[in-house]
Amino acid sequence: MVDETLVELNHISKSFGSVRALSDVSLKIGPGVTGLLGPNGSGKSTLIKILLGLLQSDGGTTSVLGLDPKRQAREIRSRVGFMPEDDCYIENVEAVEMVRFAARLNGQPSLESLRRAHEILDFCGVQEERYRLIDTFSTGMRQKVKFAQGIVHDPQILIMDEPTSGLDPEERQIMLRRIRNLSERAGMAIIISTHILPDVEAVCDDVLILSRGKLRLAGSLESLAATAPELYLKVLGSAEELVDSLSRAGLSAALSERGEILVREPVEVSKIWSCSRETGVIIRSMTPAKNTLEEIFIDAVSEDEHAHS
Amino acid sequence: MPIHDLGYRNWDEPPQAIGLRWFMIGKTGIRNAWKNKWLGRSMIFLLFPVAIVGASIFFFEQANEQPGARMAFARTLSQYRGAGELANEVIINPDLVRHDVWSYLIFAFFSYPQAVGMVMIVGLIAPRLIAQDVRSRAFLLYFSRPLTPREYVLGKAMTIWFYLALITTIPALGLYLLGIALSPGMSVVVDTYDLPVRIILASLVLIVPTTSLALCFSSLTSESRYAGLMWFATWILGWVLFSVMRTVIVMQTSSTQVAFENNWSLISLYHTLGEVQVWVFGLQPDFSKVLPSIVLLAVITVVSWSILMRRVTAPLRQ
Repeated sequence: MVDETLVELNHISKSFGSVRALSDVSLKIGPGVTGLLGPNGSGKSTLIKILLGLLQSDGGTTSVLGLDPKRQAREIRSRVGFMPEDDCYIENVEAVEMVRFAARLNGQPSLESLRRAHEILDFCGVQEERYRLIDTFSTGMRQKVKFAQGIVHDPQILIMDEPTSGLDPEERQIMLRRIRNLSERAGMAIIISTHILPDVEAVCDDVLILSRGKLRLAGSLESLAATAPELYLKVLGSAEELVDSLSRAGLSAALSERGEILVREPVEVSKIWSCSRETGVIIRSMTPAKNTLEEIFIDAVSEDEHAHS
Repeated sequence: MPIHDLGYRNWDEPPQAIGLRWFMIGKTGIRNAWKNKWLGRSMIFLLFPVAIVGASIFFFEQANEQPGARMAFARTLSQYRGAGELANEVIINPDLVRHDVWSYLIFAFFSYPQAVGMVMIVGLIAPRLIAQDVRSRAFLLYFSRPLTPREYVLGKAMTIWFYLALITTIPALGLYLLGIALSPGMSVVVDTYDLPVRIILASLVLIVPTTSLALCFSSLTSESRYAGLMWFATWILGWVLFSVMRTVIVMQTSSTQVAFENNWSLISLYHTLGEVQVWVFGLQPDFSKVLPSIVLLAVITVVSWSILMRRVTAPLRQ
């Protein structure tokens, strides 16, 4: 999954009183866009705060860009950008001033910070509104300003908490394109914590699924989606007849709602061809079944719930 | 896409030194606070007492040269609380009491107009400083940068210190320097060389506990008006309670001095500050009488600061 490791967690645990937020989490995050998924209370926010050095883990070791968040939190935070989930902003300042202020806090010189703030607001699609007080902005506009303040200092890693919430469908697509653009052209590693699975499918290379403070699944989106050893058959002729023949041959076959035949494990292609020859039903296409991210997510989370119950 | 949109470009310059990030927060706070029109008006209004104290120092130095003016100055001075003895000494030999007269005038400047003005100025600035960030959940925006909660609070405190210094320390030091510049000889410098240090100490006594308390109130709520209410209530209730107690004691003992020698002043923050400032300016040499007030101000500062830090770091502990 990861060639060049930017973030590495080894056996990280964190408790708040009797509540265990993270339990023995080990993972690696590399370049590209990584989706951090999990139901509410799964430990995503705690994990992000540990990466930023805002919280200290109870046990285990963490490395972000080769630095230890317990001892080098400042340096990490100067090289990492963060776009929080909450509708948070600094009151009574104009958007351009807020982004400039963020740049100044990250050590950019006065004039350069102003130039950079304008440049980044252009990139984020904030036009003349940048001279308005943020208090008067819509949620979507604030989302763009939060994005701008997170990248104004050109971080090596950008952590985004629910980046598309509050955006209309068109703006959502534009935001996803910007994320992809940052990753591919600017070489920024991006971690997206979100509940919106289509967003993850649209932009993420890798996925981490947390549930009840434990890492349930980690891998590239492609490999996770292709893990199901199933085949979909499109046929010319009587699909029911072929299903019967496949069943008699000892294969688990069923007719899907779309009229395709789903052959489940064990998949023996030679037997399928034999049945096709016997019944005279022509197979037009044979495609490996792919799990959707939603299925992967529900499987990972429900496995955990079964284990818990 | 606008014609000037360059897309995303990497920023490769080395960052500046990170030591003064709290200064950035302070600067932004000062600029934001200035947007309140009432603040500017109040600041201008609070500069008037400087002229009065300046004129008094000038009048005293003139009185040294002219016996007629000396009598008039002594008569005016004797009307102020606790200055009767000093007024008599002015008549006998004004050169000998120059230090005490200057101290008294600058103490009066700190104690009456500027202390009341301080309550007003802090009431205009401080309630919003942290309450706004609590309401807009801005803490994560600050702390996801190379900034510690302590630097954040220091930056917010700097905003208040700046405006308070503008109405107390800077005018008082300006008055002193003006007095020296207009004085007839070098003996004035010799007599009053310690006053700048006393002015700075008195400013610290006024600024540090009040700033801590005001920021503490601001951190307790997301509604700045409640923080403002707590702030003004603390001063007004303390003042009223002290006045009531003084009246009761005076009626019982027929002596106005009893109230001041009594630790009742501890119930009023205004009077507690006054007690310590009297000592700082050398007008009350008995340290044991001021000690309870100093302890109270220290306790207020430490407790306020602890609550403040706890409130500010709360979002990081969840």
